[in-house]
Amino acid sequence: MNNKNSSISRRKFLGSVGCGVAGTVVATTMIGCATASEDKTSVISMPESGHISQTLLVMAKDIYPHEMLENKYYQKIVDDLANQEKTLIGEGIAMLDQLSVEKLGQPFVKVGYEPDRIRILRSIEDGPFFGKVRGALMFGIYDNKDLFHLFGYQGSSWEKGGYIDRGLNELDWLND
Amino acid sequence: MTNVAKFDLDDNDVVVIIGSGAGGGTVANELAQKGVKSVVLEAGKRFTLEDFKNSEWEMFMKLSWLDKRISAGGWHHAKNHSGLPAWIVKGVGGSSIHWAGVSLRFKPHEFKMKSTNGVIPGANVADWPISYDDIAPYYEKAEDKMGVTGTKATGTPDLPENSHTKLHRIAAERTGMTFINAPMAINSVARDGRPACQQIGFCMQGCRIGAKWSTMYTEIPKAEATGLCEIRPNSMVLKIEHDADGRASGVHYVDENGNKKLQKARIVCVAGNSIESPRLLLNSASKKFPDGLANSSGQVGRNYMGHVTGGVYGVFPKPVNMHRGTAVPSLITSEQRNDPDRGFVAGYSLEVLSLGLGFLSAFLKPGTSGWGREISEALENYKNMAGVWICGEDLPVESNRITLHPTEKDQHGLPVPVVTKTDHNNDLIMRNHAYAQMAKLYKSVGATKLHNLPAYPSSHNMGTNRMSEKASDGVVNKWGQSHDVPNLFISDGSQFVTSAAVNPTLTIVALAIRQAEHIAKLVKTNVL
Ligand SMILES: Cc1cc2nc3c(=O)[nH]c(=O)nc-3n(C[C@H](O)[C@H](O)[C@H](O)COP(=O)(O)OP(=O)(O)OC[C@H]3O[C@@H](n4cnc5c(N)ncnc54)[C@H](O)[C@@H]3O)c2cc1C
Ligand code: SF4
Repeated sequence: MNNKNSSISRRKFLGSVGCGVAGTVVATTMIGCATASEDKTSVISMPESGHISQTLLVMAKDIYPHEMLENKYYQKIVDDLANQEKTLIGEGIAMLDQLSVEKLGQPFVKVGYEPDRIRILRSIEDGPFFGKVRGALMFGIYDNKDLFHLFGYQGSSWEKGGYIDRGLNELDWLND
Repeated sequence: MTNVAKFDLDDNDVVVIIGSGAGGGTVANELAQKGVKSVVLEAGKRFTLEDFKNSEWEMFMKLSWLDKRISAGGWHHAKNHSGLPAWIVKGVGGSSIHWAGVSLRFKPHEFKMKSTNGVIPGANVADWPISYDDIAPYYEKAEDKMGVTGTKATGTPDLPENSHTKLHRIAAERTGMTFINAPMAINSVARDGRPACQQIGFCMQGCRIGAKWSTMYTEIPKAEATGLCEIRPNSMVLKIEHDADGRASGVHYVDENGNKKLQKARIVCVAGNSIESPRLLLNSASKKFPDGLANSSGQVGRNYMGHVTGGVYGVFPKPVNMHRGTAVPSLITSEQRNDPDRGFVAGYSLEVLSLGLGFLSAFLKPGTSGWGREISEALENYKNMAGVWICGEDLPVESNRITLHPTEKDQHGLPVPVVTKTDHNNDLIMRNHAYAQMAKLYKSVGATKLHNLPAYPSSHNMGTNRMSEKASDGVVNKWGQSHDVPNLFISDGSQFVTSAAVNPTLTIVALAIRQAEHIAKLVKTNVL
């Protein structure tokens, strides 16, 4: 495959398929994504799954970096997505690597300097592959009641009687 | 309960009300209390309090109107919320299920913005055909009905202060801004068969205990209890029909089993909120009314107003825990006045608004670029954050409008609504003024970082069937009655002429009470 062809198919690919976590209207309506088009032709060969998984982890931690969040949380979210959306994710990773090799001479996981990786991710943020990964992370991290406590959010409260008798006005670091 | 009413499809003595939200639900109950029969057709289903979970996205998916809509024009929604111009509920109770409950009256000058400021280039500003004095008694009735805290009408106390409010109260004191506890349609004491608020904090996901007023469990069951009002959920109205004299004679709808029905009507009240109401009139075009029903003025669908909005979230050195307690506990009101010396006409409110982690992660920076360290660092500080929502008067502009898409159809085969909006220059200047005021406010209490958020999908929707004195300037008269079709009424916020610096629902309800009184009179005297 020559360079000219590959960049054309990449552009088509990154701007073609609709985005959003499977069945999640929210992701498309709220995040704003590329619109669907019929053209899904791809000439990319699939990377192997271990590589997909590793690359997605690096990508996930660049998208929403949290020191306090162990790798296993990120990994589960992106692996679940990769299982649901095999083609989109597989092809997306192949494209990401190709872009990375073109720009920086090595596949994405090998790029050690964060700002370099961010620049590459910024260049594909409007596309469906990135949109899906990001959507899955947004809901998987911030709409995940198992992780709320890490952020100091307390989630559902009606079953505890609300806050009327539970720290409603605790702020003590400002004085009238 | 008395026998629940059941009316025949051929019964042409009923008032047919389309939509059961703040406007439609109120009209239904007010008519029922006055002995007037009605059928309410509501596109959404019935919910119960048990359906209301304390979970932002789960409830968003459960409650929202997600039928296809398209955002167009210069506002950022065209790109970032392309399929969701507005945030509206589909269900018995409409958007009164997820509203926050802030209930403020318009100020007298806000009914007279044209006389107050003169002609504003690029805007279609007009005076209302009613004055503050005309509506004042109905504001009082609405406050009583809705149980608005801290008003003369109810005599109930304010809701208790939470930490989020304390921060803003102290900041306002330090900067000389005016601060008030929000007058809320939320019970601060048990009232009207509903409990006092427990400060659960998920007001915008449906109040689990029914402390917040919603037509879902106030007006609607009260109307049904009279035996004079039949609610038909899962009934989407497609078209309003008229007779040879040009009077509304019935409405076509799809019932809960997907069957098309025609309900005959004596009077039709349209209350589908400001996108669906004009869309329905446009979809009801006929040989006699080629530009849409009630549209001789050409104003149906035009002058679409949201509010000049945006959000500001500050990060503070220590915990605030904004999520504890009512979603909107208080307001800064210093900028509500009309003072063109600030560089813009009309005013705005700053409403303290808590968002949960899920919503904040999406709204902090909407669009495809809302990721990266800036976002994750802000969210790591969730418990140290506080925020406000800007609610400013949005000018009516003719080209901001609801139109029908030429080819795209919804699941019922109806053309999809296109919501086109571009900010007027006044809006831009006002929003920037609000961002600057917020920076001042938050710095006074030690904010370490500020996030300015653009507008959310539109929660306040107004103006697309506006009132006017003259038939050539608007769609309905001062009673919300069509200038063209005498037995057709608009009973929701689409009758607004201008949008004011405060939330719309108290005014929607006050107008609905006033309109129902008028309709009952016309029915009793056989004028209609
Ligand atoms: C998050 C949020 C917070 C808010 N907070 C506040 C607040 O604090 N204070 C305030 O004043 N306002 C607030 N609002 C706005 C408030 O919800 C609306 O102003 C109000 O509910 C509008 O009333 P309505 O009767 O015009 O429409 P709605 O209450 O939206 O009711 C319209 C109903 O009509 C139905 N319908 C539409 N088309 C059809 C059709 N063709 N056939 C059958 N049924 C149809 C819909 O399903 C819906 O149930 C808030 C809104 C949001 C989104
Ligand atoms: S804070 Fe009060 S009004 Fe809001 S959901 Fe909780 S109980 Fe209902």
